[in-house]
Amino acid sequence: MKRIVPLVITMVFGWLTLVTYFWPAVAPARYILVELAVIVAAFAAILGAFNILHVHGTRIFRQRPGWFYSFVLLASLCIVLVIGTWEGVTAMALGQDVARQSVSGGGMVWLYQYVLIPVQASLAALLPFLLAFAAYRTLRMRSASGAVGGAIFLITAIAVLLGQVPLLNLAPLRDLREWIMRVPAMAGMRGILLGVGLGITATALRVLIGADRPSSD
Amino acid sequence: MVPAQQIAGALLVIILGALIAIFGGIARAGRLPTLRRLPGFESLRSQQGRAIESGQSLHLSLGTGGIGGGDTATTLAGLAILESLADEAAATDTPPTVTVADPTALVMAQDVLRRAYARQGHAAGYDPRAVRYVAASPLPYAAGAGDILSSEETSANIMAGVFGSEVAFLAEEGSKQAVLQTAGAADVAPLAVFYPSVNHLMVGEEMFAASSYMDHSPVHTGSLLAQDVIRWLLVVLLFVASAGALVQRLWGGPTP
Repeated sequence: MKRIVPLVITMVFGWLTLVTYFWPAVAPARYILVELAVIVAAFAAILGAFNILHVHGTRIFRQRPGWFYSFVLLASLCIVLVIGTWEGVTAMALGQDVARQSVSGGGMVWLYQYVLIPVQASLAALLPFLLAFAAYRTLRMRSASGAVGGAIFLITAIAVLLGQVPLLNLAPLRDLREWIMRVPAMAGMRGILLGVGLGITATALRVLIGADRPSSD
Repeated sequence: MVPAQQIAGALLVIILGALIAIFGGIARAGRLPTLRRLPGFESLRSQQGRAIESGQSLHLSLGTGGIGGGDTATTLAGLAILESLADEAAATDTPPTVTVADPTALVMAQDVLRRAYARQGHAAGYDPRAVRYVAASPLPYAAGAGDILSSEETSANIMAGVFGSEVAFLAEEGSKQAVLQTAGAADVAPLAVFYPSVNHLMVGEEMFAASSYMDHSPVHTGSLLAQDVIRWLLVVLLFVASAGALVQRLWGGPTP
């Protein structure tokens, strides 16, 4: 029974969702299923919060390396939780939309704008340097055939980056960049996406016919 | 009237489903084809063996995807890799450290490990902390998973799932720690990031072949054959369409 029930639920809901794409008359059923999925995902988010508490609480309790970062993480979690709850309670007292105020009230928006976005933007700004360094290391470390690939990778990356710089007299580089993006990059990308599309369809079909059982043995 | 795209989609699903059933039956009858070598999958077993021998952990990143949205199939492909490693990990009690950025993937990954321990008759040995929910958004996830590589003894880093260019933080940390790295992604942006950093790369659809390569099950091998047949059909169609457009252009007709 423990094996059959998850399998049947997966297959029935999977086929139902698939049919809604090809038979517009039953499309509203898809929206109901999506709403159900959102509710289940919300419960999973609670489990996610407990997982963070469990993993990082243990790290702090046992004073493992990096325990202070775990402490900062849990403290941040508590602060956001308290602010969100406070916004929600205030909204309830004022007769406003509790759910909306809990996630987009003044305090939450401030945290988002002045803490989360600047930190993430700083991290994102490091990405080009990381990639350039990784490409340089590839040139140094790989075999002869790998070095050729690494050289092509690095030269292409530099050409595309320089082609984006809005300087005078770089029109040929700009044209080269456009050609790279439009012809070889697009051709490779389409080939990869074609295979990925087939892989995704085949995976979905295996789940729908019960050959893949991600939720039971 | 049903749009032509929907009819084409339905036809593709029906033909692919029929081919999977036919080739799965042929493979089940024992006539299995020889699969081409994919160094990425070959390295997974050796990386796990090395982790077991050294007593170090193996880090598996499932990326930012979850179950229930557009990333479901890619996340399932990552979970298939976890499933293929889980039994041996449970038997030797050296579970991989799995990191996720979506709570639905957390639940699924925990279930895969829990079932592997139960299959090995060692259900009490399962520790739910082996799977970690790091963060909900991509950049903090990549930074947090990178911290695990730097602060815990890890012998290999496997990245299979949904990623963006932020995965450079994770791959770079792996390079810095000099651990063996294997990566697979369906999107083009992370593949470009992985290329200079990892030892073995599973490009696009190769990641979806995990079950065929790791478990050699007939239905999965049949599924690979079915994908190949459809791919060749699409390639022929693309060539015919391109040739038709070229001929039309050469003869002076209006180009589509």
